[in-house]
Amino acid sequence: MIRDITIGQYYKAKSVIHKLDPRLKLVCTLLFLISLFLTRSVMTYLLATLWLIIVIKTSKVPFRFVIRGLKAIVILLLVTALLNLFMLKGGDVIVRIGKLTITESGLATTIYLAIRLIYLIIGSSLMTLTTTPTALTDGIEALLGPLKRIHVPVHEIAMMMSIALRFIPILLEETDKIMKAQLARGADFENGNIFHRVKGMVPILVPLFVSAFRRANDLALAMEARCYHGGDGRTRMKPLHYQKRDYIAYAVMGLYMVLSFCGGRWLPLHFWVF
Amino acid sequence: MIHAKSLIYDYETFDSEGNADGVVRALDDISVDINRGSFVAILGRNGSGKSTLAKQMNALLLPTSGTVWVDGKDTRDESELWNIRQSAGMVFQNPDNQIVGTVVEEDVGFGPENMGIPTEEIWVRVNKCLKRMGLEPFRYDSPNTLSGGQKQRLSIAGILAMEPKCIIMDEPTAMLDPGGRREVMKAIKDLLAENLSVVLITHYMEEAVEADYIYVMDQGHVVMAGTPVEIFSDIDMIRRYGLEPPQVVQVVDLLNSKGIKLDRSILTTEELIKALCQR
Repeated sequence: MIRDITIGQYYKAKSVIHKLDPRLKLVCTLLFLISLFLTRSVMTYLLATLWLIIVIKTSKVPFRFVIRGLKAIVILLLVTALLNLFMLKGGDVIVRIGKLTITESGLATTIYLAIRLIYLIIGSSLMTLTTTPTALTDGIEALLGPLKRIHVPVHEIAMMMSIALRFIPILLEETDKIMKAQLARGADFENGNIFHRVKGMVPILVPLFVSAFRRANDLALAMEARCYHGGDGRTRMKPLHYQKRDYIAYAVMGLYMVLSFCGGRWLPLHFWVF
Repeated sequence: MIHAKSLIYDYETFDSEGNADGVVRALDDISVDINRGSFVAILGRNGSGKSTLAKQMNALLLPTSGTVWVDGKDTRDESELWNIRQSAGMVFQNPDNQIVGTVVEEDVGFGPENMGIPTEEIWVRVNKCLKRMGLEPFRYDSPNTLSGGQKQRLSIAGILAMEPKCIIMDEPTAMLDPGGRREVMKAIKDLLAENLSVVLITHYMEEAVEADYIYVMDQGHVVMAGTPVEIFSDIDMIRRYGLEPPQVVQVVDLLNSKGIKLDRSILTTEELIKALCQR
């Protein structure tokens, strides 16, 4: 049933990574992504590979789940890689196919780019796989907290995100219902050219929007009836508290950043050295 | 617990350009009393004003004139707004549209969080309310996986966690199957056993039969008020207000007209069976 789908791609397992504070995971993921772009050195990438392997192993998430996120970017990856490979000029020519040439720097850039993109996706997938959407929302709210000073409605944004998470499956189910109702009345969503099909979506979108607004209205009433009045004076059922393991994780992450940066600076082994 | 005196509520209607083009009187000179620990049913056909009255009972709407007191507090007193909503909780019709949390236990905690209850106390309340509504096995599940009856029980648990004195239910069973309806009615009986007041707005007469007191509404007026026995003894009157009397009452009425004399105070199937067997 459509309601059973989980939003995001949380993988249920009992591991240290799952238990870590969502704020920490957000910060570490960001740091990891930065580390990928700081230097161009084999050392950095070897370290990143090792890091990913260790994190995947401790998180107990099966490898195929981790790389599932890559499917979405395969095309993007191929196109950018091919363009880089043939378009960038610099250094000696390695291969010549008719008018197309592959140069040393073109090859190096392509490899860096591919590795960076793949690691970027794997790194962020690991975060979403090990953190529930609710925890992520809480983490984002806490991290963006300082922005409240400059009147950014952080609590409201987080609340909207978590409500969206709750209502996506419901609205999906509703879309399904409306589509069936329109099909039963002879609507055709599959034939005709693209304009025809886009036009066919109108009778789905209009009732969907009407119902979404009605739901929003109902929910607002229900929330008010349950004393909701914004983030002021609100307490938390599950407040975020850093545990000992979180501080250790921060320390490990700091060590990784230092190693990655220094390794990249002082051992600048480049690919074409091989 | 809740008292309304000569309550009038008007709302403006708007034309397609958004200009006010009229005033509709949704509630006209309503006076009701809901005593502590009592079970009051409000009946009426669609558009009779019964949901509007419910929203007056926890300050979601405010009177145009007249007064509503909830637990001794005037609903127009803004400083008491959150106390009023806390002491008179409200359960709505559509179970999907009133659940906020993405996990069952978090939804129960939503009300206490808003009230600023300390974390440890929230957990005590959540655990207690989940147990009271029989939802413990589902506490880590997504509300989307629950059945209609379970969702309404979750809504009730979410209100209970705010420790109200009265729960107002606006057609809580209208979207449920018979099984779900029974679940909710059982939950209501459990609440009554704990000395909570329940105001049940419904158009299922069978549910109203068990109430201590019934108000029948039509076109913004309270047209009948009394105990179930008093209300249902006048079948013609009930029909005039667009309501269908409970099946048992109809059977008793038919049997009486065929010469089988039965007591008019029979309201439930069990009572009817007993009376027929004694003959």
